[in-house]
Amino acid sequence: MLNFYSASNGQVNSKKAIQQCLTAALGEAPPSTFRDKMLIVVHSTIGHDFDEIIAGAREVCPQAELVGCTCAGVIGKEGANESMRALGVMAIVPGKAQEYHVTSCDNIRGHNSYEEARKMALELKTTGADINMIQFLASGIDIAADRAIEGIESVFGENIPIFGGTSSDNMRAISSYQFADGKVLERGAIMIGYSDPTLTVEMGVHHGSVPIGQPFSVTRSEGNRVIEIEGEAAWPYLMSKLDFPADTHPGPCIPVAGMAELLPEDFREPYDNNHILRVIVKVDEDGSFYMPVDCPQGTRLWIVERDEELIFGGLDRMMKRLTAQIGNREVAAVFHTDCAARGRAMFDAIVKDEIIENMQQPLTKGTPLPWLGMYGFGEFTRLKAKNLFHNYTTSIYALIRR
Amino acid sequence: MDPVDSSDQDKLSYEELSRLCAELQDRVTRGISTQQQLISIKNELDEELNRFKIIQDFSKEGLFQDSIEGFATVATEYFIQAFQQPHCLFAECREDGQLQVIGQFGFNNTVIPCVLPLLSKDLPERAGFLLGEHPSFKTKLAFLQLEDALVAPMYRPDNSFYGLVVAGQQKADQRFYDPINPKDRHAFTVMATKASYLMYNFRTNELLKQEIRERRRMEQMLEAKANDLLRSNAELEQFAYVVSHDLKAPLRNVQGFADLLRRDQSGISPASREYIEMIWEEVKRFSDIIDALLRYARVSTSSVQDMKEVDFQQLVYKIEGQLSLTLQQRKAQLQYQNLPTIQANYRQMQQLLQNLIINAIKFTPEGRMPFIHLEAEPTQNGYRFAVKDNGIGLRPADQKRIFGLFQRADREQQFEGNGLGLSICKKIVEQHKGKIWVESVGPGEGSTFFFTLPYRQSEE
Repeated sequence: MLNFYSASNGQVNSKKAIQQCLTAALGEAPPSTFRDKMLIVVHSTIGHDFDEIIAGAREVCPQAELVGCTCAGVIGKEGANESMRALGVMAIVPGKAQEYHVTSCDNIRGHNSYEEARKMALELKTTGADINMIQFLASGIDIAADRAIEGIESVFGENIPIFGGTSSDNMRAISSYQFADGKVLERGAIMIGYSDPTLTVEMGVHHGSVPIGQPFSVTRSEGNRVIEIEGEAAWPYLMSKLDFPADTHPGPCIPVAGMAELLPEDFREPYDNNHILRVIVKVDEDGSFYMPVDCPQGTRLWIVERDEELIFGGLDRMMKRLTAQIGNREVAAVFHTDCAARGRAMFDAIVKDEIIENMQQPLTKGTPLPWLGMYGFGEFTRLKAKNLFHNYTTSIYALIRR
Repeated sequence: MDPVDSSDQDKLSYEELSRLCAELQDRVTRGISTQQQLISIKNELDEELNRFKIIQDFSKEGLFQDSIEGFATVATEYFIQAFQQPHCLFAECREDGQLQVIGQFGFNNTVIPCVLPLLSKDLPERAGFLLGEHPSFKTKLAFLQLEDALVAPMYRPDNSFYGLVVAGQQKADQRFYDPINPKDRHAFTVMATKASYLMYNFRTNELLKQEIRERRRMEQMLEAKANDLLRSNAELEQFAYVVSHDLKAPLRNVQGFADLLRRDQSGISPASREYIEMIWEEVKRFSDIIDALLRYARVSTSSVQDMKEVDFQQLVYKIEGQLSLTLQQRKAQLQYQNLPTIQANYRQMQQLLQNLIINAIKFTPEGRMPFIHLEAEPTQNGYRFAVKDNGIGLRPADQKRIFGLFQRADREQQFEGNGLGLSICKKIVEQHKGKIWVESVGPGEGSTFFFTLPYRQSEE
């Protein structure tokens, strides 16, 4: 049976930060745990020295395998921290059996997302035939997330729950990093397969934005690359609608340049919204931009604005649905992926803390749970028995004892 | 009335509607930008608040560091946290005016000298400033490879230059780090001032700690020496006691045989009789010295714990009775009244007063009627006793010396004595945590012996 321990802090010295995190997290475990084999999932903001994090973790937990990724902010049971040097860990300690399986790749991009994800899934399948859920942390700059999901499902089938997110930097959309096998990767992905038979996962996902004005039509595209909107170069067209210069880098536009796309009818009710959102983090010199999923010609895209009532009301509805799904079962740990834009770029500290509190309180009921979250570029969350990739959402993954 | 062309009217309405739609959409998107700007402003305020909290935490943690290096490490980390910069350097101005680097953060790949090639006069501003605003100063710190940084000099409370703190970013950092906000200068100056006070306190405390350590060391050394001295004194006194005691037995035999010879003088020549008399006299003198030495030694070996309430009026009365023959022979007058009752060792007090009274009689020249006046006066901590006589008096040079062992005021040895009486008095008074001294206008003017005794003897 897997046991989970988490901690987060804003210590600026990277080695001290990881060591304090691990000491705080494993402080609740038996002292010998530090020497045990375990998996440490790390989320770190971009200012940390990643080599120091890896070295620091090895000193404290020599048998541990460290995986993770960068993000724009860390969310732990201690709250959210979006400083340049924030760190959060979830230490996953197995029982006697091999209950987790990890693999990674060092070059996942838009064009090879399916192949790389499939390759990783196959690798996991060979070591863990009984894997019952998958956590996927991938580079967030250039990935075709829907293709990656298809790659995983081609091995494990559509019923395998996939959760996780894509890494980010501090909203600059320049580079993000992943940690695997003692290395720091820039275009990598990590896949964790859980095979603890006592565990299952319940998920919730929600965004609080509504489309505004008339939609734009994609008039030319290739896969997830949008070349033209309404017959014009896609990015300059979008920028003109947002009153930004045509050469604006996508990073600063993330909070305002979210694109809404109509959801199939079946998903609208559980999603509490008719639209699913897409983020743009990569733009080519020719004015085309990249969506994280396929965007065929004819797709209608809306500019969106956030709706406070929908954000808070929707969050409450999501948590009610989630707690109803969980029922009386024990929550072993919570992973959590929020869109980077849902941090300080979009909310002030008070609103942000309130959102997190509204998510943690119904699950923890006063007793802190192992909790590791991040502000990333995108979220892998299952909706109505289908694995989907989302943007601008809050996505929560509660690991439940069956 | 002309018929209305409905298609034209529809067309106009549609155009108007499209224009209004576009305008509305434009306003909405502009509204989003404005909302975003408001959030940025709110976030700036949040950051300021957070920075204030960080400075507060720094003030607490900075106080409890064990070393200046520890303090500098904490300081650089807090500056990094407060200003979200990847590099920070902390330097302290030494007594020789050189700026010594005492802490740094994030300059892992940069060679930093121990001493910065800077002096206080090189600083372009007294308050905090941006490195980028002063190219010549930036050149002086070129080895740090900083593209831009916040710089603030630090000052001691007396306004003298105390050091420098720098927090900034190198070229590679600009990929992720926002350019330094000039508005941060003020907060940086505030935090640097806080740091300088903390560092100054640390250094002052360090000096105090060092001084305390040094004092403790000296005290321990003195205590050890005092203990050595006490031990060696005790050994010496024990030795004197044992020797005196052991000498007493053979001397008693010599004295006994001399007595026998003195009583049975048959067949002894007059010259031998004179020798026997001389032997007898010397043996007696020797015996008196040994007795005095034994008394002296007993003062140390006898317990000061054996304290009780001593009525000095009664005690002097008793001594007066014991010395009545001597007093009568010398027609001496002893005056005393209203003497107090104090806690003391009765036997030692008896010896002390007896010695002083006998001395007063002894050191009054023949033909002069000794007059001894004894009084006690309450003081802040106890009583001050005075034994005044009209004796030969003392020269100022002798007034301290006479309390030493075998020291006599009467250098010509006109008066009998072994030079131990006042040593015994001194020892007794000191055993009682008092002081003894003598005052005399000069030879022939009489003397007053003073001694003090506390109201109560502490239990040690």
